[in-house]
Amino acid sequence: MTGQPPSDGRVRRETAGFDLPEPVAVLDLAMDDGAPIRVVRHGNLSGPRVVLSHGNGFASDSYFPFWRLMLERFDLALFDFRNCGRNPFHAPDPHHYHRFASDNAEVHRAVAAEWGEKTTIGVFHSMSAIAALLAIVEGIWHWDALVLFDPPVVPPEGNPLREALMNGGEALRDAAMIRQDRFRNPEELADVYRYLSRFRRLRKGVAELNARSVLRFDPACGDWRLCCPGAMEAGLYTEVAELPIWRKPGPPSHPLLIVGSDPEPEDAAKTADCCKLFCATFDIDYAVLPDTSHLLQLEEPERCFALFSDFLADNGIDG
Amino acid sequence: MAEGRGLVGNEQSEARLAMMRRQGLEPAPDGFDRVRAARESLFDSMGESFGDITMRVSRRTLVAEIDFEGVIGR
Repeated sequence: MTGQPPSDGRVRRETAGFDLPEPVAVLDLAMDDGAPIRVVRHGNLSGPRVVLSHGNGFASDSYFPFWRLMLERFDLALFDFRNCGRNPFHAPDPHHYHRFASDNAEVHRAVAAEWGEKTTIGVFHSMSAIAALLAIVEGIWHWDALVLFDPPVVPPEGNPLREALMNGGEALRDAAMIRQDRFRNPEELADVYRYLSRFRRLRKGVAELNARSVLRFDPACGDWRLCCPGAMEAGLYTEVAELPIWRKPGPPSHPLLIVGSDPEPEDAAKTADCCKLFCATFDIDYAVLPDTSHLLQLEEPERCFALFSDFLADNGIDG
Repeated sequence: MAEGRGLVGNEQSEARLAMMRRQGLEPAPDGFDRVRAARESLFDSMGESFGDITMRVSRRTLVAEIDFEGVIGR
């Protein structure tokens, strides 16, 4: 073990060059089945609210290079999905997209009740973006606008993009099932991230930031363990194909932007072409960020923020 | 060819390989071919006369050249 673990088992503040601010406020919630979810508030409390969450295998603090750009103008409410990140482990089941969608609703209601009703923009990546889509295809909008980054939307049977995305999902699932879940220290996991060629575009320091965001110190064993065990992460990679989200979001209509990773590189994320097709099929606002992969907010945070900011301005949402 | 130089790189590569396999990841199908080609190219071009420099460069090259399938998280 290296370094001194904090009292809550997580390193919260200083992370490899990224100094996470102390939250302005913390909201500890219990979902209707008792699963704890902690929401943390940062930023400009008089600005519009941004609710932000993470992809599978990550945590909201992993996205600090991106959300730190919002601190000056926006009232940020960050949360990790159940069993992930800063939330204590609850139970292996339920841990699926439909449950995440209902957790979204509970989080939204609690944040509005505690911190006040105001214009709210949802900003979600991948897994959390899918949970948001699951609501809006039913016409359930907790948000006045949504910006979704590279959701793994699965095309219907017969579309060649479906097989490629599903093959990738199955590989992720299989790897997660046998994935090491205990580490001597966060650096050991950061080293893995640094060694993945498909993570080569990550900003310097993100590997360490992410490792510290998804690990929790275990004082009983003296090592660090994944907050969300790999076996729980695994099922979500293929469950996404079973969700009824390949359709146009139901009314009422609200501003929706999907930002996709670059489909052009030889090793492009399989999500990239699917996002593009999804948006073309259902006439959804779409932007692509050249030279990015699936973790685009951690590769090009400034360009992602510029797209987000321009989109809000175009839709009359001032921040 | 000084066998020891290759072993330095191989040992480190083996450690990396084990580390990545613990994450459920395997080398890309051409991962080892690329390593072998990089090593041969390196020694062909630099010869025997560079001593420690050759060894250090080769270690970095071998480790950097193994490519792995997949990623963690999505």
